[in-house]
Amino acid sequence: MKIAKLSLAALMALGVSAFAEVQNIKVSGDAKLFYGTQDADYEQVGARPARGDLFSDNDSYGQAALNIGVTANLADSVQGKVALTALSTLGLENNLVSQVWAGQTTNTVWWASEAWLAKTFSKTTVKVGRQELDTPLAFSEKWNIATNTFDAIVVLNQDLPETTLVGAYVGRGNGVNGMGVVRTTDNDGNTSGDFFRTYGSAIDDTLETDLASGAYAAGIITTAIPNTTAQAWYYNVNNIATAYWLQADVNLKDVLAGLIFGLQYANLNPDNKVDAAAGTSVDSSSGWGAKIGFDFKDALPGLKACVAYSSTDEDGAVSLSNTATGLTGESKLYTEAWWNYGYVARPSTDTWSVKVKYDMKDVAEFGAFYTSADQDTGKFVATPADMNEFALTATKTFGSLSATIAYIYTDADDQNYIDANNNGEWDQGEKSDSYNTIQLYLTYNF
Amino acid sequence: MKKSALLAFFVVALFGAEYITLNNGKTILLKDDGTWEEVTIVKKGDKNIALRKDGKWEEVKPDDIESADVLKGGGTDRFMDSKFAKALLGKWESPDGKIEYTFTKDKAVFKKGPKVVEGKWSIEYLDESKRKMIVNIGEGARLGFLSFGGIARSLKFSPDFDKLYDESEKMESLKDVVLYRVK
Repeated sequence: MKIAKLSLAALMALGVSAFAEVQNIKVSGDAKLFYGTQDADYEQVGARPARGDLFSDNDSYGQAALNIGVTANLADSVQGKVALTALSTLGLENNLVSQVWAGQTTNTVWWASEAWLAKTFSKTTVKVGRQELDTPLAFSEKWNIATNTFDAIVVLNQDLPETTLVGAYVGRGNGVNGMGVVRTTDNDGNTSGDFFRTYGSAIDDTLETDLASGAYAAGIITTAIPNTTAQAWYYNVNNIATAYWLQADVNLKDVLAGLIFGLQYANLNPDNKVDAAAGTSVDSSSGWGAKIGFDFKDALPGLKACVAYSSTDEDGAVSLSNTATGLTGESKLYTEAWWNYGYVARPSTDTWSVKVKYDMKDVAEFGAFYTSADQDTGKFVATPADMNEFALTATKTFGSLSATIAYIYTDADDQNYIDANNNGEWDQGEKSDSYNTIQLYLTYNF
Repeated sequence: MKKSALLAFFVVALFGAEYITLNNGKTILLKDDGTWEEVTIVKKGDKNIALRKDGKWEEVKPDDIESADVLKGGGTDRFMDSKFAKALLGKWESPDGKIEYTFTKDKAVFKKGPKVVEGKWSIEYLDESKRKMIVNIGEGARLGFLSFGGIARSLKFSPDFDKLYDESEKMESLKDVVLYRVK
């Protein structure tokens, strides 16, 4: 008891001491309401009888989320943040929807999504705790209503001119593969408690092994080459895979103002520690991407366009995607689709993409995105699946409220199977059909 | 008479700079002992006379009465007249276009992907020697050092003020994000 009192007193003293040097404490967050509906006949989101009608509850998914956080800038270059995330269906599943966006549960759940402290010593910053990460093969995905985070220790150093060195240990994460993105059950299946598991578990689940034991990452990002941002990353997901990622993004303003060019290469080696296909040795997966973009700021301010191409090795066994969400989620390849993640980074896949954005002043921000992924048979690809996606978006802010409406056309070989045998069953492997999706994203920042 | 005039001159010289007119129109005298008292300034011909509560009076030259430079808004606006606030005005963008700041005199907009925060802005903290500042955008309410709503971003100017380093983004994305003025 005395120890507890002493600890409390020490904490209060520390608190008072810290608050005396407070430079800024910000309490803020956002509330989100996301809705999506599609006219697919096959069960695209969740297990239920789809009706093939837009806006019917069986073909729709919706959820609300609340994020609230406290960010503190203290003296001596100390920063910290604590944030909570809560998910709720608001009862929408009773009449308007039949699935959720994140978490794969209709229960109301909440968890500490961020809790970190960072201290800067000269040109070195150490950030410790639960945090978001943004590296090419281990990152927080932002497309969903909730974001996966990591329990990690990150060290940044900038002693070299125009260069940042990054070293990270990632112990745990709450990412899962599939639409859910975040895990909302503990190891006993309860929707309360600790949702974070040893890093690598998301891949571990996919490959039905029990090898996960954290990961290390090291990176160097430099702008020392004029007009170029170059980065190189190395990963070791303990007992599961090693990987590296190289990327250079060049501003070609000296050639033509507004012109940019990017090149990337990635390699992910399961190193035969993971037996993806029983009895078969697993080769490393590799792929490359290139993009060229243009900002039409002189001709039509607000208009930007980008064309990208990527190609992955036909001998690869796994996808060059986010290791935090089981190598089935979002990829940082330039060609990544707007909505249908999981295709462009698969082995033996060639992809084209075209992205156009137009910020029409005082009206709205519009986007058009086309992705065509063509997969061939490969060493580990017995049934290739092509995917074509076309998406249109419009985003408008009304003060603190941001609203986005999206239309997505999807034509994928492994989605929306039709009942070709006319036996009332939608069997995988039968012919697939295209379908349409409409989504509404509402975010209120406070 | 000469002695009186000489004494009055020294009193004015001694106390002249210690008169301050507050924003509410009242004038106070700052005393050497660390206290202050309110005085009444009256006109006698073309002279200003300060009437003290202890019954004494003295002539005060107009130049010896200073206007109070009161800190505005509890401290949140105190850096808004600085060269840093003026240098921020305009539109700043990262090379990949994913991060945008737009500062006008009355409003700022922060964009990062789908996240948009806009509203009034202020500089919360400024370290002139390091050219670092914490910019508060879209604040909804304030309780002492607690700021509710909006977003606080830590920014740093390059020595020639033509680039901004987004220190908050570096903490979030582990990258040194440089913002360039595009307008």
